[in-house]
Amino acid sequence: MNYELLKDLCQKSGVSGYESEVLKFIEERIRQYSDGLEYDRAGNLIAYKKGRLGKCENNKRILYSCHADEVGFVITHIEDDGRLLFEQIGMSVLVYTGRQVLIGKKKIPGIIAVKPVHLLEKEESEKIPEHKSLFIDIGAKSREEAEELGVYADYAVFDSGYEELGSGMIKAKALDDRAGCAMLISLMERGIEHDGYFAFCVGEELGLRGSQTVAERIKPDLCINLECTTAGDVYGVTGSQRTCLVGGGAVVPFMDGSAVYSADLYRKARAIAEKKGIICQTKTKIAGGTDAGSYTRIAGGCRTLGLAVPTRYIHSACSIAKKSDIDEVEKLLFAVSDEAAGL
Amino acid sequence: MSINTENRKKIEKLYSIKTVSGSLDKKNNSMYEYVKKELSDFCDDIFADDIGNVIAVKRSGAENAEKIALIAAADEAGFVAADTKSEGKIRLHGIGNPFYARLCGREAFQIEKGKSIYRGVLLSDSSDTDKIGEDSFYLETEDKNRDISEGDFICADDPPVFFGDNGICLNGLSSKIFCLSLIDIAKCAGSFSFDVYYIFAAQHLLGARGEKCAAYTVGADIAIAFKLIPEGRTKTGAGPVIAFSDGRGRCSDYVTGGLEEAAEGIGISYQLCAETEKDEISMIAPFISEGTKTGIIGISASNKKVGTSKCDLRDLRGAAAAACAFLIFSDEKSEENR
Repeated sequence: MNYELLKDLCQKSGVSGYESEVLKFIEERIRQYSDGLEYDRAGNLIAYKKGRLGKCENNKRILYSCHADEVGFVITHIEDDGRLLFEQIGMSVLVYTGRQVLIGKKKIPGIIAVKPVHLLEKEESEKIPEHKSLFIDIGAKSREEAEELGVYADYAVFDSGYEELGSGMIKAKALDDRAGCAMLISLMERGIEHDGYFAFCVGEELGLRGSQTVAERIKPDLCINLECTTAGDVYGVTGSQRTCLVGGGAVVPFMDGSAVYSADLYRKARAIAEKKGIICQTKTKIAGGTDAGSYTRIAGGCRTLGLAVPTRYIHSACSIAKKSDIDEVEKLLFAVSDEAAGL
Repeated sequence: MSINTENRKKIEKLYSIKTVSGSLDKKNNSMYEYVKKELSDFCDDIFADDIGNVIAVKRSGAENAEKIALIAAADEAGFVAADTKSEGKIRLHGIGNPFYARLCGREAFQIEKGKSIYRGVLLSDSSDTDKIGEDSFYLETEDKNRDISEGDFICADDPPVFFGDNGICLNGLSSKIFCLSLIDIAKCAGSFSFDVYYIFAAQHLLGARGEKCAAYTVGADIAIAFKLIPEGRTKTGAGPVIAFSDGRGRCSDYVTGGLEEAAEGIGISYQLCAETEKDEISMIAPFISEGTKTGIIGISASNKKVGTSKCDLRDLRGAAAAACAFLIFSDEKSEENR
C-alpha cells in the first residue's frame, strides 16, 4: 500500500454530500490511468479502464467500488450570538462531543462545545449530552460575523491528523473508506487483466445513495466492493461479538446489514487467499451496511464480493487500522482482480 | 383447497425446500428446480436471478404487451453460521427475525446447494426464556461432523402442522405458502393479452430485497403481492383479504377495485382492510417506486407475531381464485378496449 497516498486521502474533506475536494484529488490522481472518466449526476466519480487482455469473453461488466465520502457535520443554523447549530452524518453524540472540527473549504476551525465540568450539575456530568444541547464555537461574536465567514450550510470535518502509532498501526479520520479509495487507485496504477469500471461513490454514509446510481448506470455483472469494517476487539467483548480483529488480516464478509454476498464469490476469494498465502478472516457478527446493498439489488441482481479492512472506532474522529491488514486486503484485491473474468 | 392427501403433500413438498433468506442465488437455487418442475409445461420462460428470485413468465405473444406480476415471498427465517471457531460453539446470526425461544431444542439442518444436511440441535446458553436470543443462541453438533463454515446457512426443523379440515400452522414469518397459489394460478390461468410474471421472491425477510430487484427486472404495469395479514381487523376462515395499503404504501385503487370486482364476480366473500403496521416489510413499496400499480391479496393469520401462524386453507384457495379472476377480468377488459 502506498501510505503517502492514504495519508493524503484521509486529510482531504469529503463529508457526505460535499465530496468535491476528495474526488478532485482522486480524479487528478487517476486521470492518467483511466480510459474514460466522468462524474454522474449524483456526483459519483466513475472511471473506465481497459485491461491488458481487453473485455471479458462474455462481455461481463466488472465493477470495482469504494466510497469517497466520510462522516461529518452540516451547519444548519447560526444563532444571534454566533454559535453554530449543526446536524451530524453517520455518528453518535458519544464520539463528537468536545471535538475540534474544520468548516468548509476555508477550513475554519471550531470546537463542538459543551458546558465545562466546573459548571455541570452532578446529574448532568453523569449523562451523555443531548445533540440539541451542542453547538460549534468558531469564536464569532455575532451572527453577522459568522455569516461573513460563509459557514452557513457548509460542512465540517473532524480536525484529526494522520499518524503512525504502536506496532505498525495508523490512526486517521476517514479511513472508512479512504483505505478503499487508496486501494482502487493502486489497482488502477498497477493495471488490470480485463476491462473494468472503478466507482468512487458519494453519499454512502447517507444510506448508500451514490452507489444506487452507479448500479443503475453501470449495470455490473460482478462487483468487488472495498470497505472498512467494524473491529470490536477492544471493548471487553469476546468471541463472535468482536465481529473482526485488527491484525487478523483481510476481512471477507459473507453477509452484512445490507447484503448477502455471493456465496460462491466468498468461497472463491477465501480459496484465492489461501492459495496466495494471504491472511484473511470473516465477520463473526452481522453489523453495518455497505454499498454492496445497492449492487445486489439491481435488475437481475449482481454477484458481489466484499473486501474490507478491520478498523477500530469507525465513524468517529479517528479510526485505527493495522498496516499489515491493509496490505493483505490490497494483495487480495489484486489477486481477485487477476482472476475476475473467471469468477 | 382442504387438507386432503394431495394438498398436504403439496404443502409438505414446498416446505421441505429450504429457502432461508440469502441462501438462494442464481446457480444454487432449489426453488428454481421446484418451480421449473412444476411450471415448465405452463410457462414460456423460467429463470433465477443473482439475488435468488425465481421468475416464471407466461407471454402473450404480442410485442410490448402489458405486464402483470404476481408476487409471493419464497424465503423463510433461519440462521447463518457466524463464528465456528472462537468459542467452541457454532454461533449463529438470525436471518428474518427467527423466534429463538420457540426454535430452541429443535433439530437443525445445514443448507448446501439446496439440500439440507442434519447437523445437530439449536440451543441457548441461557435458560431464561426472555434472554434466549442471538447472543446466547448456538448450534450444538458433534465435533466429527463439524463441517460448517462461517457463511453457511442453517435452518430449523419447523414444518407446517395440519389440523382439522382446513387448519394449518406455519412458521410465523413464512409467507412461502403463497408460492403454491402462484403455481396453481399459473397452471390454471393459461395465456392472456398481457404477459404474466410469477415472481417467487428471495430475501423478502431481509427487507424486500428480492422484490426490489424483481421490480427493476420486470418493470410491471400491475403487481399483486400475496401476504399473510395479522388477524385482528380480519379473521381466519372469513375469506381472502384484500388490503388497500400496507405500512409503507397505498395500493392503486384500480387494482384494489379490480380484485374486489374479481372476488365478487366469482362469488367469493372477502375481507377488505388497510394494513398499517409500519414495521411490516412492504412487498409493494419497491414496485410503487418503479411506477407500478399495486395491489395486495392475502389471508388472515393469527399469532403471527409470536412465532406461528394459524391459517385457513379455504382462505388460501379464495385468494388464488380472486387473483386468477383478476387476470381473466383484466383480459376481458383489454379485449373490450381493443
